[in-house]
Amino acid sequence: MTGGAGSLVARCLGHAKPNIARNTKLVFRFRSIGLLVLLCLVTVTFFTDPSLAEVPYRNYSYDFFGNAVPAPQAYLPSKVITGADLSVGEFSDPQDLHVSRDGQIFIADAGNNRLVWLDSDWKPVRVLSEFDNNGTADRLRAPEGVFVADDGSVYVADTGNSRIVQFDKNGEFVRVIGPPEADTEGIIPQGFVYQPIKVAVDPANRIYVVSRNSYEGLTVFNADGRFSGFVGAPRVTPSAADLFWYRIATQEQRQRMSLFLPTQFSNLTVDSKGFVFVVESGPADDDSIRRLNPAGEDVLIRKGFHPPKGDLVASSDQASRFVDIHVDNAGVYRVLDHFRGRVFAYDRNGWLLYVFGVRGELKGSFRDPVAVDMLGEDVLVLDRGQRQIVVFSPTDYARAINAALALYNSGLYDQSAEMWRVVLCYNSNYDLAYSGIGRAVLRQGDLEAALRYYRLGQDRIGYSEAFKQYRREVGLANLGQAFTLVIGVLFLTIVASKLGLVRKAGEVIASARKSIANRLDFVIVDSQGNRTPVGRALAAVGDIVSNLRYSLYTAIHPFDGFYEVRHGKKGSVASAVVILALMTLTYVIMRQYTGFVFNTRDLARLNVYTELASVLIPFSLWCAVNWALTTLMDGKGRLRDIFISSAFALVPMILINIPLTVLTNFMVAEDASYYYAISALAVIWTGSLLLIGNMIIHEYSVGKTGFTAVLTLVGMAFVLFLGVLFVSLVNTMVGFVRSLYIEIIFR
Amino acid sequence: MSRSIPPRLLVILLLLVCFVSVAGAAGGLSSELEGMTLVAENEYLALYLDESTTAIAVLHKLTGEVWHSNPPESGKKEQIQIAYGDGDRTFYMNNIDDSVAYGQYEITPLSDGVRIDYTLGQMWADRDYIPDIISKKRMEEKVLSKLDPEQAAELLSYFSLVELRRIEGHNRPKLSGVNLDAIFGDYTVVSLDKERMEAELEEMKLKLQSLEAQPDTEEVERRRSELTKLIADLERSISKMPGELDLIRDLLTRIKDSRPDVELLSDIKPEHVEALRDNPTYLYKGASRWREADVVRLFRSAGYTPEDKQRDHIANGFHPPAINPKIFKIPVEYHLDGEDLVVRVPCGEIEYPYETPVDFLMAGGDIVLNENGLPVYDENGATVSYPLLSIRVLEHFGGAVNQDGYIFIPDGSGVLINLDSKTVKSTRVSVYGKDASVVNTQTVETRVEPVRLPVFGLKEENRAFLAIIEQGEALADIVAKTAGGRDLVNEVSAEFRLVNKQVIAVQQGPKPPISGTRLGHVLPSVTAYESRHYLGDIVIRYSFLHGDQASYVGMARHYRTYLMDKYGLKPLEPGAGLPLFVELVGAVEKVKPVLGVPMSVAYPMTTIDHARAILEQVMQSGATNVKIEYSGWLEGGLNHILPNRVSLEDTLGNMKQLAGLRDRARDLGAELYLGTSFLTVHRDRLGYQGVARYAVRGIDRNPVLVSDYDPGTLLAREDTARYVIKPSELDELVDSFLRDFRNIEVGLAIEDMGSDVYSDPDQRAGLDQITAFTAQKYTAERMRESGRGGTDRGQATQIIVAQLQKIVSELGVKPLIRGGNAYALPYAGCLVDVPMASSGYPAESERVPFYQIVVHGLYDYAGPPLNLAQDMETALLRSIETAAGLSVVLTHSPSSDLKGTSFAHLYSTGYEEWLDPVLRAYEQLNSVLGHLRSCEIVNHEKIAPSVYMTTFDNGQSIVVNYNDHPVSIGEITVDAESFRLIEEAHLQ
Repeated sequence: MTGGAGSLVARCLGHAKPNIARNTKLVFRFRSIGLLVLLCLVTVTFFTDPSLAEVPYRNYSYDFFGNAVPAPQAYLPSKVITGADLSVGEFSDPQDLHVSRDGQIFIADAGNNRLVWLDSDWKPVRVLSEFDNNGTADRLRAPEGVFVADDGSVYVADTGNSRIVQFDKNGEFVRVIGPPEADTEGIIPQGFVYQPIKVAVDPANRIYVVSRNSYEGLTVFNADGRFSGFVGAPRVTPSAADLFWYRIATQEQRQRMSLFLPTQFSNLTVDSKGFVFVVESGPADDDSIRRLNPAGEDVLIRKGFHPPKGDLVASSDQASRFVDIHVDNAGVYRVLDHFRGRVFAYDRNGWLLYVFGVRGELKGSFRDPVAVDMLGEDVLVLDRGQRQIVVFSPTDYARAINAALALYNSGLYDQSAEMWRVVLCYNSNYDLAYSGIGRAVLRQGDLEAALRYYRLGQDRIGYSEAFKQYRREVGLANLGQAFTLVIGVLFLTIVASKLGLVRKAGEVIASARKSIANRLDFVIVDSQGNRTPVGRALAAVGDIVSNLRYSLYTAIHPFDGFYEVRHGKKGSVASAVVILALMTLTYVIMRQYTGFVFNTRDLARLNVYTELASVLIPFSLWCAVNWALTTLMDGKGRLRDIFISSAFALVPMILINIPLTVLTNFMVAEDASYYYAISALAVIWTGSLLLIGNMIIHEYSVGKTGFTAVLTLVGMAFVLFLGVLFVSLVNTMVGFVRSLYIEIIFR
Repeated sequence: MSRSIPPRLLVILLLLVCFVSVAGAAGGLSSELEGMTLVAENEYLALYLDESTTAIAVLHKLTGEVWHSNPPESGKKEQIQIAYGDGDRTFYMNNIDDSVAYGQYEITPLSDGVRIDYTLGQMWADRDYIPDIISKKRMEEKVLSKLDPEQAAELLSYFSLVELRRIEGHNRPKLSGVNLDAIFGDYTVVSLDKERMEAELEEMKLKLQSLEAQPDTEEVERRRSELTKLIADLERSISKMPGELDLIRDLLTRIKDSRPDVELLSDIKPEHVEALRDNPTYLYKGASRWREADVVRLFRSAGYTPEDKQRDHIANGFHPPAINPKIFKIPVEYHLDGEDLVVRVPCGEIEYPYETPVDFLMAGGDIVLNENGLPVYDENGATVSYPLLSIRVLEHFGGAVNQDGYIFIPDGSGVLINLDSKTVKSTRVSVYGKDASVVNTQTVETRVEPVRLPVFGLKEENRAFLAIIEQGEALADIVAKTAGGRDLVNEVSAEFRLVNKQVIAVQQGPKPPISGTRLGHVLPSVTAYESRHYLGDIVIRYSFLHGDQASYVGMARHYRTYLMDKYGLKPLEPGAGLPLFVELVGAVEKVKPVLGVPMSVAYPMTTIDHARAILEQVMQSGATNVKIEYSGWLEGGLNHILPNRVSLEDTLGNMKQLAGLRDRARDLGAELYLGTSFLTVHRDRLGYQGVARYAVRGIDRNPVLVSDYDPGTLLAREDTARYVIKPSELDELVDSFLRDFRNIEVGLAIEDMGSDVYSDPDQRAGLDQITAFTAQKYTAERMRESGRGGTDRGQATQIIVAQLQKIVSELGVKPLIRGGNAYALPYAGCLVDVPMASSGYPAESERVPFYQIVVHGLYDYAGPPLNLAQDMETALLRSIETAAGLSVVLTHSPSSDLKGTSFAHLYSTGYEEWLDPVLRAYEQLNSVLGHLRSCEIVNHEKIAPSVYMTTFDNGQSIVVNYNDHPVSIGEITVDAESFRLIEEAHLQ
C-alpha cells in the first residue's frame, strides 16, 4: 500500500507477526513508541474482566459548532475493585481517592472512619484509623479527603473532627492542623463553620482546604500550619442589569438578593508546577474549572472551541456538576461530572480530548461517582454508591492521543503529527488532530495541505497563519495595499465620471441600444401603437432598472435623491422590493461565501428563510412603526415614501458587503480591523441615509428626525415584545387545546 | 368449577401406583410426587398433576429426575401470573390466589397431557349468594325445599316476609315528602310474620284459656306457667315488630338503594312495588359478618346461585348483582412431546369480561346466562373492561435451590448468572429487543445488546433444562432472578406482553434526558392501551438435559440440533476458509446549502468502480470466502428511498457498471450482496401520502420515529429519524422490490429484517376506543374479522418470515442477514453483526458464546465490524474464541468526508487505512483457524480467569487469553491478549 496516512497506519497498527503457530500476538495493537514509556501495571490479583469491554454509551467530542460528534471509545473499564477484593473489608461511604506520585493509593473511607492505604499493586499497606496523638489515643472521624504531598506526607481532611491530620510517609502521626483561629483583622467572617472536606498541598507545603458550605474560597494554611487567609474566592461581578434591579428593589427584596452567593468549591488538586486547580460545585459554567496562581488569580488557558465546562447544554439544570479534578504531569486535566457520571479530559490549552463514563446500573457504570485519579495510564473512578473503584484503561485510540500530546509538549512536532495521523485513522472527526497535522505540515512548508488540515480541524487561527504565508507566496503580499488600490480605482472612476467620460460612454451605449430597440419595435409596440405584453413587461423592467440606478444616485446624493422620491418623481415600490430581495441575497452570500477565517457559521445549517426573516422583520417593523409615529407627529411622508426611502437606504449595505465578502477570502486574521472598519462603514452609511431619508420625506428638522428615529426604535422594541407575548400566548393556547384533545381521546 | 376425573385416569393412577412401587427404589419418587396424579406419559416422560393446586411435575424416566413447576422447597405455588391495567395503574393476579382458591378452574385431560382452564379473579362475592328480595314461592321452591326443616327455619330467621295487600278504608300513616297514596294506592305493606305471630298468639291464648279451665294438677300448673311465659315473650316480640310506617319506610329505602334509577324516596313509582302486590315476598334482614357466612353456606348448600339472585332481583325490580368485571379466563395446556414438555397458552381463547346493558336487564330483558358467559357492569352500571397486559408462564418451573449451577439467558451472545448470589438480583431482557413501535423512543434507554434467540435455561448440579419459546417469542421478556434472603429459589421464565401501553403526557414539557436519573418533572399524563391483545399461541418447549449435557454448551448444542431438525439445516461443506465480510458504503446524504437553502445531496463514498477496485484488492490478497456487502446503493444512499422500486443511486455509476461488478465478483469467487433496509425509511423519504400509507402510528397515534441519539444530551437526533413501515405493507413492498431486483441477479443483504421486529399498534378503532374494546365479546374471531388493532409483534414476525421465504425462492440465493434473529435463521445464507458481547447487567456472572455454538458450522458468520468496535483487540479475540469470521466496514473516500454529516459515527472506515491491516489479520487467522469453519463446537469452558478454551469436533481447541499478562496452563503458555490453537486435549 502506498500513500501517506495508509502506510503509517500499516506501520503503527499492524504489528502482527506472521507466524501464529509460534503463538505471537495478533491484534491491531498500537505500540507506544520509544519516547513514551508509560507505567504499565501488571498485577496478578485482578484479572481483566472481558465482559467489561463493552460500555453502553458512546464517546464524543464537541465540534466547533457545539455539536456532540461521535468518537471511538477512549477509556474502557477493565476492572472493578471493591473493598472485599482488597481484603480490607467493604468500603462504607468512601469519599475520596488519591494516588500519590509514587503510585500509592489512598482511599478516604468515611463510613468506616478510616484511611485505606494501598501500594501501587493494590496490596494493602496499612489502614489508618486510630493513632497516637502525642501520647493520647486519637482517631479519625468520617474523613472525606486525602492528599499526599511531594515529600510523601499524607494529609487527611478529618471532616468529623474539623481538622487536618498529617502523617509521614510511614504512616506515623506528625501533627494536627486545627480550624483557622479567629483573628483581629476580621478575615474570618461571622458564622464561619470550618468543615474541611478536601485538602491539597503545594510544593511550598502551603495547605489548601475546601471547607463545606464555605463561600470564602479555599482556606490556606502556611507550611507551619498557621492560618494565612482565604484564596480563590470567586469574585462577584454584578452585571449592569443586577445593579439596575438592585436599585429599584425594596429593602426586603434586597435582603433576599443578597442570598445569591457565589458558588462554592467542590474539590481541588495541585499540578506539577504548584498551581492549584479548583472546581466549583453546582452547575458548571465557563469558569467552573480554575487554575489559581499563588495570588489566587485564575490563569487557566481556554483556547479550545468552548471553555472547559463539561457538556455544552442550553440550560443550567442540564449542565455538568463537577466533583473532582485530576491533573497529570503533561497538564492534561480530567474532571468528573457527577450529574451524568462522565469524565471529561482537557489538555492544558483547554481542548476537550475525550469523554467517558456513565451513570447507570450496568457493569462499569457509576451510581454515585465522587473521585477521579490516575494510576499510571489508568484512570480510577471511586463510586460511592456501589462502594467500588472502577479502573479505566486507555484504548489504543486514547494512547495515540496521549502520545501525540506528549510529543508535542516535548517539542517533537513532526513525530506528534505522525501520531495525530494515527489518531485520525481511529477517528476522522478529531479536530485537534487535524490542526496538529496542519501545524506540522505548515512547518514543512506544505501550505496547501496545511490549509486543508486547518480547515478540517476548524482551526481558524492556524488557517489564517497558513493563509498569510500562502498569500505572500502568491503575491498578494499586502492586502491593505491592494485595498488602497481598489479605493484608488474607485476614486479614479468617480473623477472620470465627473469628467464626463462615463457619460460619453453611456451616450454611445444608449444610441446603440436605441438603434437596436428601433429594429425590435414590433415586439414592443403593436400595429395600433399600443404596447404588447412583452412591451409592458420590458417597460416595467426598464422602470425598475432605472429606479435602481436612481437608488445608486440617492446613495451619493441623499438630499436630492430623497426629495425626488418624496415628490413621487423617482423611486417605485417594485424597485424597493428588488432592493430588499438583493439585501436578503447579500446576507445569504455573506453567510455562505465569507472567507473561512471570518465565517463561524455552520454552513450545513444555513437557511435562506431565517436570513429572509432577519432582513424582512426589522425592515417592515421599522417602516410600520415609523409610519405610525410620523402620522401622529406631522410627518409628511406616506407609507410608500417611508418604504421606498428606507429600502434605498440599504443600497450601501449591498454595495459594500458583496465586495467585502469576496475580499474576506483573501484576508487573514490580522486584517480583521479592515474587515470590521468596512462593515462599520456600510452600517454608518446606511444609517445616515435612513435618517436623511426620513428627514426629507417627512420634512422634519434634524432634531425631530433624531427624536422620531429613537422613538421608532423604542416602538419597534415594544412591538417585538408584544409579538413575543402573543406568540407565547398562542403557544399556551395550542398547548391547552392539545392537552384537551389528548384527554378526550385517551381518557 | 367441576373437577372431572374420567375413569381412564383412575386406571392410569393404578398403573402409576404399580410403577412407583417398582421405580420407587430408584429415586424416592413417592415422596416427591406425593399427592399428584399421573395425567399423561410416554416412553421418556410422565406428567403429574396436583389437582388441588394444579402444580405439575415431570418425571424423566431414564434418570428418575423430577422437574416441578413449583419446587416444593420454594413455597411458590402459582403457575401463571397476569397483569392487567386499570386506568393508570397495573394490578397482578395469579392462578393460586385468584382462581384455585375459589375453585374456579377446570381440568380436562388431553391425549398427551392436560388442559386447565383458569378463571382468574373471584367471580362472585359471598354476598352475591344472598338475595335481598325473593318471592315466597321461589324461596320455597329453590331453597327451602332443598334444606331440612331445621336449616330452613334458621334461614328464614334472617328474612322478613312482607306483602302488599289491599285494605279498604285504611288509615295510612304519613311519610313526609312522599306521596304514599300515589305509590301504594289502596294497598299497604303488611308483615306476614307479624300476622303469623299474632295468629300464634291467639292460638296460645286459646290454649291457655283451655288450660285455665283444667284442674290445677302439677302438670297443668307447669304447662300453664310455660305457656304464660311464651305468651309474654311472643307479645314482647310482636310489640317489637315494626309498625306499618317502619315497614313502608324500610321497603322504600331498599327500593331506593337497589335501583339505579331511583335517587329519592319521592321518585318511587307504583310499578316499582308492583311485584309485591298480593305476592308474599321475603326481604333479607341482614346479619353480622359471621352469621352472614352461615347464610351464604345455607344458600350454597341449597344450590342457589348468584344467577338465581339476579333473576329474583330483576323479577322484583331490584338491581341485580354484578359479576366482578376483573376476571380473565385463561387456558393452559401441558403436552408431552417426545422428550420435551410443551406448554401452550392459546391466547385466542382467553376470555375477557364483557358487558350486558343494565337498561336491557332492567327493562325486563331476559338474561341468557349460559353460552355467552355472564353479564358484567360495575357498580355504576357503566361498561368496563380491563386490558390484559401480560402473562407470565411457569415462573418457578425447575427453580433451583442449590447453589451449584447457573441460569442461562440469551442476552447478547449468551450470559450465565451463577446461583451462588447472596442477594436477589433480577434481570429482564426482551426477545428481539424492544419494540420501537410501542416504546416511547423519546426516552433514551441505555444501549443494550440484542436478544437474538428465544431460549433460556437453568442448570442445577448435574441436570438442566432448556426452554425454547416456539410461538409468541416476539412478545416475550425473559426474566431471571437469583435467590437471596428469604427468597430461596433461583428461577428463569418468560413473560409475554399481550397488550402494550403508553403513558402520554397531557402537556408537553421538558423530557427526562438521562437514563438512570430522575430529572423529569411529573407531568399530568394519561395511560393509553393497545386496542387488542395478542391472539396467537404462546408455546414454550422445555427440554431436559442430564450429566455431561447439562451445561450451556449442552443447551446450545441441543438448540442447534433442534433447529437443524426443525428447518432441515445442513452443516457447512468443509473447504472454504474463514468468512471475510466487507461492507462497502456506497452513497450517503450530506446537507449542503444551495443559495442559502439547505439541500440533501447524495455524496458517493464508494462508487461502483471503487467497489470493484477494492474487491480486486481483497481477492488479490488471497482471501477466500469473501462476502462483499455493497450498502447505500439504492437512490439516496444509506438513507435510501422506500424500496418499492429499484433505482440505482446515480452518483455511484450505472446499471451496466453494477453488472460489471457482479460479473467481476463472480469471476473472482466472491459473493456480492446489495444492502437494503425494508422496515424503516428515513423521514425525508416519505411524503405526506407516504406517511399516511406506510408509517406505523404508535399508541399515541403519532407516527413512530426511531432515531439515533445525541451522545452528549442523549436526546433523539432529528436528522437520523426514520419512520417505521407498517408490517401490513411489507408484502407488497417486497414484491415490487423483487420484481426489479431479480433482474440484477445478485445477492440481497437484508439490513433489518433479521434484527428488528416492529409491531403496528393501529388504534383506528376510533374515538370510541374503549367502547370498541368492550362492547362486544372479546374474541379472536371478532378481532380478526374487524381487522382492528393492527399487527401485533407475533404477526409482524410471521410477515417478515413470509418475506424472507419469498426472497429466498425468488432470488434463488439465500440472503446475507444482519443481526440473525432466530426466525431468520432458516432463510439466511450467512450472518453478520451477530452478537458477540453481553450487556453487562449487574447479575451477569459470565459471558458465553452460546449464539456462536449454535450457528458455528451451520453458517458463515461474523460479529459487528472490527474497525468500529469499542475495543478492537477484545473484538478480535472474541471472534478468534469461536473461529468466527471477520467483518469490516469500508469507504473508498476517507471518512473525514463524513465529518459534520449524520454519518459521523463512521469515523474509521477509510479503506486506505483499514483494508491492509484487516486483510493481514484475516490472512493470519485464516491460515491457522480456517479449517475450523465447518467444525462443530463441542465444548467451551473457562480454564482460568479470563482464559477460555473452545473445543471443536475435530479435537482441536482454541485457548484465548484476555488478560494483559501471559497465562500458563499446564505446559502451555498463552501470551497476554493472545491465543493458541492446540491439538487434542493437551491440557489434561
